Amino acid sequence: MFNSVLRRICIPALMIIYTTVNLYAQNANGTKFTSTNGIYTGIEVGSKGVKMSVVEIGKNAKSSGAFKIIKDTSVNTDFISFSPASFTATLNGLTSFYNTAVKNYNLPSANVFTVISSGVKMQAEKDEKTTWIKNLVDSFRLRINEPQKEVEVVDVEKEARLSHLGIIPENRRFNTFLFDIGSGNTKGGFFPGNDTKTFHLFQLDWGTKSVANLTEKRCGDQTGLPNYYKQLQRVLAGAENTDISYAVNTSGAYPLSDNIAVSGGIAWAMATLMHPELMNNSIVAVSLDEVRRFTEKIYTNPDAYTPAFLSANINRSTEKKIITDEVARVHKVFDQKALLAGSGLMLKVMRQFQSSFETKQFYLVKNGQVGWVSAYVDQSIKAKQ
Amino acid sequence: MRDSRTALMIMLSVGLVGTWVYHLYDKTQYSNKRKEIFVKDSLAVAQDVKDSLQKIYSLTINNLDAQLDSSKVNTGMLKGELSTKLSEIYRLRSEIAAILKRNDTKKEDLVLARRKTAELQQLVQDLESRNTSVEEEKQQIASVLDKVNLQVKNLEGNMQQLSQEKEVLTQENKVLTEKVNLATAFVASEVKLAAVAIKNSKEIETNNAGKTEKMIVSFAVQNNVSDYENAEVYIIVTQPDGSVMKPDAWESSSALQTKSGEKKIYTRKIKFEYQKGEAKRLFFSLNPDEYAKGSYSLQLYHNGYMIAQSSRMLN
Repeated sequence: MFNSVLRRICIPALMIIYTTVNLYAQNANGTKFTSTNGIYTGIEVGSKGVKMSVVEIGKNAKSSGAFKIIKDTSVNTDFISFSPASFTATLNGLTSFYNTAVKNYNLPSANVFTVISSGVKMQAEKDEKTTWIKNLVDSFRLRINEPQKEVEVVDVEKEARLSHLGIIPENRRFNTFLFDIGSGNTKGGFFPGNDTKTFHLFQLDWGTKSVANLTEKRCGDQTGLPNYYKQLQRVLAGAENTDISYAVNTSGAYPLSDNIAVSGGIAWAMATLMHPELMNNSIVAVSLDEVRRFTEKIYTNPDAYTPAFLSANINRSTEKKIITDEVARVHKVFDQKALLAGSGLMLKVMRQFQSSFETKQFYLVKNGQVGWVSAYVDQSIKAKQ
Repeated sequence: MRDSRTALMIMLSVGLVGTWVYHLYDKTQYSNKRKEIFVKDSLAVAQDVKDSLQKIYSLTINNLDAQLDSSKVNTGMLKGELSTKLSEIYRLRSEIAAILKRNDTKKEDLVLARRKTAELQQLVQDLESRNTSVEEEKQQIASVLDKVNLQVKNLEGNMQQLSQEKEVLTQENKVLTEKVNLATAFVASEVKLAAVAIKNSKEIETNNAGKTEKMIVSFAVQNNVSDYENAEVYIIVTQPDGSVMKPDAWESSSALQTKSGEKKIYTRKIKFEYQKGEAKRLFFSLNPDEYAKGSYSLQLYHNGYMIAQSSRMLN
């Protein structure tokens, strides 16, 4: 009895302390901005946690897709477990990020956009927990003392559309197919006409984590890498035959898309590991063969992607450190099995765009997670006018 | 008459008696002689045979020692066979020596010793003939080896000469390939990096960083050797702070690899179709958010070679 009460008190308390300490640590080095011209913040409550992206949107952002990321941070709160502890942690994260944007970056509330992601909405509807979202929004408004603050709950189509609008520049808008490989699903799409009114949604129930999970399940007791690799090929072949091939072919994306852009964590990881010399590039062009070679090499020779190996030929110490740190960050987020699962899934989707008589250009988008902010800003400004 | 007959009878009788005496004497002599001969056959002959065998044995052993020395030195390759034969020889020698040393040597022993000696002689003769043939073979092999060595030396000389020639050819080939590659690369002209201000909807060239609205890169390329279905010219504009200008992340989303193997970040890549001999004029504008004061450099690359460079100072 006593233990049960103690557990109920301690777990939320620990999560609150953890979140607070984490947020303090993340924001301790925050810069005080005096000029807020063109600086916006997007705060998104996702399935895994709360993400904050502070971006500076330049005058050419629409034509070139360029925006400068001032800060990009997140905190894991696991909101979709819909427990009191995760609720409190999410609320703390959301409030803290909002305060950081307003106080540390001197941004007016109008420049701070808060949204609840489609993943949270879908899970809440599935679990009949939509009131948790409403409660979170209400509590947040109360905490920041802004009862009218807009917190939009976006659906999957809007999220994919906003990402396309935010990431893909205008000059590539109508010939680029964008898809985002998440942990639990893959979503994206393209504009089939010559305007942004109609968006064709592309969706798959496969993500890096779901592929890895099913593979682990098939491995059973034999958890070694060779068996994992063997089972992964079977899982991916099954996914390709049952879902991927059908989803791509019925989307109508093939004839309309010259460019295939991939965003999501695995795209960032692969771009970093495959082209460390392009560390400062937010977009990295790759070929299908390059991706295929990566999926093989990460299995046969993972040492070729270690921080030390990839930074070995870099002479400038500052550049070397940047590469070493970023590659280490990739390995912290994705282990070898996750890289195999994610890259394998990416290759299966990309393969659908392979043709012997037409060349598609493939791009990996590193900062896709902040792309929606610029589109959201643009959309909000237009709505106010 | 009667006297002569008597005398004849006496003479005949004497003759007969004499013949008998001689016969008896001779018979006695003959009998004594046969006895002596028999004794001699059992002792002296055995001694003679023994001496003879000892002599042959000693001679064989002496010969053998000499042959052994020679064999040991010259027939290293046949050591195994030799050692087998030697052990056979040593065995025979020991057996013969043992037979001959015996005091109560019998006839059968001597026959055995003789047979063994013959075997021993045969073995030694075999060794001799083998040695001779080995020597001959060695000489032949040595002569063949000398010839082969000579040929190898000649070949080595030839190879060295060939490798030197190959090196020279490779070098020449490299230079020629380089020349061909260079010849297939575009020759650039009229390379210009201009800063432009916009006044009354008109573009005016400026040196003022604050007034600059965009930068215009223009150049012409020509090549009299090759057609290109898909020619690619890379443009690198370096800003005063040393960083490469990248106003469009999509346009500069890969790295340029130079002929020296260096990977370079570029500002923009221009793709176009090209027909041999054509003077192709190309230009495009760059629109970064802001322009810093200082020197801007422009480099053009084709086929991994830098084909032109220029610079522009903004105050």
